[in-house]
Amino acid sequence: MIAQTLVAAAGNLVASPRPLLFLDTCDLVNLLQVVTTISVSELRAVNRLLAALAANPQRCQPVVTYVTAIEFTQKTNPINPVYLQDSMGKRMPPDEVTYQLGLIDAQLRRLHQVRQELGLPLPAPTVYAGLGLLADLQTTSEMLLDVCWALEREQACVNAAVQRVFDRTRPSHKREVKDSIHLEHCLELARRVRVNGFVEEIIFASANKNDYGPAVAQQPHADLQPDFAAVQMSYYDSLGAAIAHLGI
Amino acid sequence: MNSERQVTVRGTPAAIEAWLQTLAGSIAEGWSRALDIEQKVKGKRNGRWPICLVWSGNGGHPRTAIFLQPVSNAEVGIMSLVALDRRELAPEDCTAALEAFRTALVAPRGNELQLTDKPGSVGLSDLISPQAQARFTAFARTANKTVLHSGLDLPRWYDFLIQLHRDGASPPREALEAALKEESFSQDTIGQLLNAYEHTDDILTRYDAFGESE
Repeated sequence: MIAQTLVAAAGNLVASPRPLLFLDTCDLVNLLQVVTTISVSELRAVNRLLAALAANPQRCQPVVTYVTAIEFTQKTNPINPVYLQDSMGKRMPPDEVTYQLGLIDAQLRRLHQVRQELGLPLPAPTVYAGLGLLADLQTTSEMLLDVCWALEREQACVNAAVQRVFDRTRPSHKREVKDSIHLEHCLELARRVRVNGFVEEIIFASANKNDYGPAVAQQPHADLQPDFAAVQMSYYDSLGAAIAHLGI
Repeated sequence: MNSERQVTVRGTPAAIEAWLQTLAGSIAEGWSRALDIEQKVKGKRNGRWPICLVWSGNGGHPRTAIFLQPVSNAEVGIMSLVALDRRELAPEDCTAALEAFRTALVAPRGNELQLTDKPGSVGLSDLISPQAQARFTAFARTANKTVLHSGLDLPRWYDFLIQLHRDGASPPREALEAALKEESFSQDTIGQLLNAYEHTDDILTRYDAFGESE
């Protein structure tokens, strides 16, 4: 992850234009959840994106904000003191992956025991919890974060986000401020490059459909459409779809 | 490859392994192995894949990186094509790179290997969770394929739709339709099921919001 001020990021993009892809924390965390609820095509698309950027760093510019980096750690690193133990009664993604792998292993063990009792023992089962799957998924999401620019905190954007909370406008209609801080930084970067003649695609990806969606015809929620339209920014509720849209 | 095409090299496991060994050294004129790019893509992930080969290009076609990824021990897929000296590859550049790949790396192996190129099709199981897949299978295995039983079949279909909603998954209608066709449901029944699919998520989303506001 490369920290960037809004000024530096805008300057770089105007000097060297390439498609701009904003990612949200949930897009990074979703990579762990391909074991449980998220489509495997998300992981496949991220692998294509990482390959494209390794071969050609000018292919597109993935961008997160400082909020994303903090949230990502909170949601994926169990040894971090701010790791959230659970969210609304749900296990956090790393714990859920561990739990599901344990469940799969236990079920396989049972099947093998039953088969053995029936006189047809099977070859020793693979222990999936020992294959390093979670570690590889975490590494993949960290690699994605590593190739992103992380926009540094800009007080005017934070102020605008707080105003959304006061006004109860999306994505702070439930008085949550983090999503608005993220969005305001993205909108501000988009404004700064557009005003300087940037004509490349600007895509905002977030699987957080509750706050940004629905994503009908790449449109965010009606309340957010004026903000997105003003900077010609399209919305995708899946990172995989956003990557495919870029032809990667 | 992008998501619209699926290009793979097929052969026996022994033929595939022997071919992969040849990609380790001097490959063919105009081709090289890009270990530095491979390392960037692998990062801290262990393993042999992806393999990255670079075609030097010709005529107006640019230098192109081709990433290989395993499908099985008898099949290797082209995961991605990336232009090295320009932003994007035009369709004709992709075609030229793939043809160069076939000519230089696959054809010399004779009948041992075959290159297949077909439109990419993402199956329903790629798009939904294992839990949702299990519910779909439970429904498809037991349902009457021509006339749905309102007390037995529809509740199982609703269980599947509720699971999709809980997962936050909205697979495209086309993927669902294809999966139902594959399970031999009649056209009328498919229409009825898709109609329920299109309305259920809205209703459940509204129900969730209703719950939150109370």
